[in-house]
Amino acid sequence: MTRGRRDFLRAASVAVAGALVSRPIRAAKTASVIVVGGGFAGATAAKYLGKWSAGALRVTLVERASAFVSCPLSNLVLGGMKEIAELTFPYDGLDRWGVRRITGEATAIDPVARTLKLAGGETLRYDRLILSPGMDFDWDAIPSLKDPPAREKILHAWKAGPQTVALRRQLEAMPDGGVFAMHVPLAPYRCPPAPYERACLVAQYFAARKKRSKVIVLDANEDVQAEKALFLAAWNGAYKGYVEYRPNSGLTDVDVAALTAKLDFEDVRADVLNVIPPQRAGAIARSSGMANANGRFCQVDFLTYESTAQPNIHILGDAIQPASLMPRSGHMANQQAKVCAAAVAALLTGGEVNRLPVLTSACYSYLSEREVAHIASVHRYDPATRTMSVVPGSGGASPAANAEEAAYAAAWAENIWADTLT
Amino acid sequence: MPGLAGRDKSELVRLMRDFRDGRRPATIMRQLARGYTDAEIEAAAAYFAAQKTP
Repeated sequence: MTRGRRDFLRAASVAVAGALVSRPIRAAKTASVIVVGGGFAGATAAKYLGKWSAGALRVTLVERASAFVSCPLSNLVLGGMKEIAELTFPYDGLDRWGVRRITGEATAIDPVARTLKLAGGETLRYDRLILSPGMDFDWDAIPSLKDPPAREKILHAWKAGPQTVALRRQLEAMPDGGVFAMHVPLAPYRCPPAPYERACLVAQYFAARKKRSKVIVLDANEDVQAEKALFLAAWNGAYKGYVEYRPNSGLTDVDVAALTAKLDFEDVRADVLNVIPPQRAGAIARSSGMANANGRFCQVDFLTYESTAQPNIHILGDAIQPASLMPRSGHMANQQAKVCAAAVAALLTGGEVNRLPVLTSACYSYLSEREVAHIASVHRYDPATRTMSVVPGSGGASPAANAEEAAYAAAWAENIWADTLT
Repeated sequence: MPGLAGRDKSELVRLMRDFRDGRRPATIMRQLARGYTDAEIEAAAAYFAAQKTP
């Protein structure tokens, strides 16, 4: 669409909105849903609420960033195989579904008055609120990184965007013969296979351009957390000599000046040190008593994603305490959002809530730029336990990484970006 | 990647059942198809068959 045509349509829709002001009866009856956070969960929820309610709900999306940056595929930026611009998308594709967008930060909720406060001081009223703030890093776990300037030197790159680009610059600037050490926190963390994918793609870069360099994976866990056989095959095969995997390597702190990871029994010096910190629900989802799973994540009703602590507040994506074997993945967030959007629309417009939701998740891992493997699962609601369970016989992983699945991974990404944002 | 929009419903149902029962080779589709009931496969096929080709 040309800019001129888009501007004309925008002007026309403003004119229509203006005309509605003269009919306040309809406006007063329209229930309001506010979605906080425009990641895979929040953007999908806003889109489908707009689509399925067809104007019967007022849908507002509050997101602090002006563009969406995809975490899936962002390890390819670290390997030098993609540019961050290829993973960055505008939010204006949601406009056609009637979603009102606010670029800003939500700071506080009043669950009794049902209002949401924004950093600019504005207060918005809601009938139902959907929180999808993703996760926050728990800096208290790594004392020397409590100081924000230290985090400009030792990067996480676990939220795609400027950190991803900055870590790529560090890898480019690293002299050959250097060590890239990355720390994996204890599970649960966002996207279980992603740290190991990162090790592979940086190793591929080293094998092509810096042959005397090495990746050291310092994993706090006792073993590889996903697709273990596939990653071990790559590290013992194509990347032999480039990747050293050390399990049970819990981090106690870092030495920022010396780029050193401090473990229980040894210190590991690096030329580029990448620390993925432990994670918990985003701050706004931890307010009002909602982080009722160990004070870290939020328990929800899996039929509606309503908080078990606060009525009329729904929580999605990485902030929730998932059912057993439900991964913290972008695909899962997108799926939860559709179940939630349908339930919220039903609750506010007098429809029926689906009693038997089914979710799927597919997660593609790049073992190299051209060899990809997947892990997949299907989860069904179990009324007896009121949780989600993997359907027996469903799901599984690729027997080996291959080129065919590289094409499928690219198509998966195009499809989920389109489904979430347009 | 072949699109699904507007494909014949019975063809889509047959494809999903063939994936599920292992009659059609697949990377991920067998694992996903085994998660769904016949009624859900019918519903999904009807949805895709009703979509306009973009």
